[in-house]
Amino acid sequence: MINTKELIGQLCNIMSVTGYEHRGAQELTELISPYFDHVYEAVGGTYVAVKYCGRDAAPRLMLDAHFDEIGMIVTDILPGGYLSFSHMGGLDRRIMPASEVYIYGREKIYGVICSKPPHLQKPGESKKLPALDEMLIDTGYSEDELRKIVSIGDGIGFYESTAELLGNRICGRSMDNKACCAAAIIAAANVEREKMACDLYVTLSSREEESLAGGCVTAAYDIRPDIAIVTDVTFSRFPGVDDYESAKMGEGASVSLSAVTDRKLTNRLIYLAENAGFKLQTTVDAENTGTNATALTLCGDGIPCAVVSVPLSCMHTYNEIIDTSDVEAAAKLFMLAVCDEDIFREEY
Amino acid sequence: MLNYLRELIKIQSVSGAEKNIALYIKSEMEKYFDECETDALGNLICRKNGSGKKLLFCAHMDEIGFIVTTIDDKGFVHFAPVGGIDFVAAAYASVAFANGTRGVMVPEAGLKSDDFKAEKFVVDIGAKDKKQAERLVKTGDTFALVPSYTRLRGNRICGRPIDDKIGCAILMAAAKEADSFKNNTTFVFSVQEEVGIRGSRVAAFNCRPDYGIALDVTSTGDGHGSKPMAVSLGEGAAVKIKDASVICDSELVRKMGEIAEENNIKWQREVLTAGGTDTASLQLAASGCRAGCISVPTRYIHTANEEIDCSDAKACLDLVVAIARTELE
Repeated sequence: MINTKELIGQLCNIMSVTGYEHRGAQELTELISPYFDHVYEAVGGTYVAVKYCGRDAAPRLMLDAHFDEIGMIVTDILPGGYLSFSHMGGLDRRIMPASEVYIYGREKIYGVICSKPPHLQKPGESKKLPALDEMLIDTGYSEDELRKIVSIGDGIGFYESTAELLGNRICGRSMDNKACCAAAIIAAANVEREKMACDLYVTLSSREEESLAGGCVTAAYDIRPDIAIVTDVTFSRFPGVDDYESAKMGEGASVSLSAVTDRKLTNRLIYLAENAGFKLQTTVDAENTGTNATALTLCGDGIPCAVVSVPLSCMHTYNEIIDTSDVEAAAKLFMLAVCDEDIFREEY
Repeated sequence: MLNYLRELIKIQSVSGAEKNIALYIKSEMEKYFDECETDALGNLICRKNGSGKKLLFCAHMDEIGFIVTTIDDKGFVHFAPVGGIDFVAAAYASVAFANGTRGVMVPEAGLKSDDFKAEKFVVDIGAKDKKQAERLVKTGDTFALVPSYTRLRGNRICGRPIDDKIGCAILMAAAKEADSFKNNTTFVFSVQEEVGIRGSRVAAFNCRPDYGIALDVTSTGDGHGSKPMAVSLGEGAAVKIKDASVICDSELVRKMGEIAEENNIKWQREVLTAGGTDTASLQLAASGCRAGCISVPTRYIHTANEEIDCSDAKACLDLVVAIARTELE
């Protein structure tokens, strides 16, 4: 049996800043190969992991979880051992000053984003956030030493800091979307081949954080799945966030109700869960799911998609929190879907 | 054509929930076309086998509407918009859900129209509390303003949703002439146009047409306080040259004008500075095609009373048939 917390921790420790997903290729392949028949890296940087049901001409289910994470990119190396940088994916500038980061150069080095002490700030300066291009990373190295290790264009990620909280909760960098990657991998590992109704293509896809489409679409173009389930994190509920666009942590996975995802498939997932005795939460994403599904639906001549989410709090920070029971609930749902023959029918 | 329009208006088809309207259109199209199938997203693709160039016409089946987000303790239904909603036009209008439940679109008391937005509105379905409301409506249900069809003076009609049920009605009426078509012709009734021109993209990818022509509505410059625009009700089929989503193929535009002239069909040139149509996705799907659009001039688009002149719709129908009957090169 896979230990969920351990697997998420291992996935989080594989650096996968948007655009640098290939960096962890060997590590990731070694980690997940035992659970699949075939693992390969597609042209666009997406890892495709296949588990066959063993029957000819079986339908194909694509289970997509983006593997990339938000981060930064080195834009220049400056006198004094400072680095300027730009974003890879949507960064929250409020959390940047004094954050600890790793720079993934020829070796992994540590840095801290500079913060101007309050004493030195001009009147009113504390009220506005510095722009990204006004921020620098202090590495402690001299410029000459730094140039030997770091090049312009190298990736930067927040400090690797997975930690256990009380109960089922864990926090750390890149829970978005390693938690959902774990759910997909757990489902593939645990599902019994004889019970599978389809060939399962798990895509740990690239570049979602930068383009909201990235590598999942190009991978799908080759896979040509009959249906697809996209799994990604969603906002956890807290004061000030509307109920309909959030889900409660610890109360299971959530499915998206949207004009752009497939209602029939979504309803089938709700039915499968209820039939198995557990409930799914729902979120409403009227016109755009904010996930790979919005683009994946339009791949080739069209792919019916549903979105299954895991609630997460502190999104796009270095301390994203998830509840592993939600990850396990999502994995359970994926196993039911993979074993359901009727999910591929035109009518049910 | 107008009989089709009346029927299509009655069948609610908010983006993402086009199944029922597709079934109705399919039942009619099967009488005139060789193959009618629904694709993975719900687009209805109808083929009339023939030799020559692959000619595709496309009208979208979906209409703008709303999706239920949550129901509060008072039994009021909260929602998010699906498609481009004008809340000034929607305030206090009647709405209908797919199961027949009716309601009124109500803004927060005292709210000025400048501040109208979805979060400030609820639908009052007459429920006394949350429990009663939840028996009729649930999260994720879609609904729309109540459909209507009214004859005005002369050739004019108003109601909703004319956008783009009129396009669908035109294609359905054109299908009756299918035996005289001189191209390999496909009619696509697309989904999810109102939420980002989505369905037609995969349908065009599937069909790989040489020519793709959308049928949709366009604005006019002849209304009360309209922005200047050289399109008027009653002046004929509008042949699109450009809108905010596409620049049409100039050779196809020229050809369409020429076919209209040859067949004595009244037509006008259309340059629309806002708005998008399926034309854009037809043009760019797979390795692309020569794309154009025939538009029905329409006032008050996306309101409870969209107004058209039937003579324009008839001109659009005639132009579709004339193009299909012209052997394209």
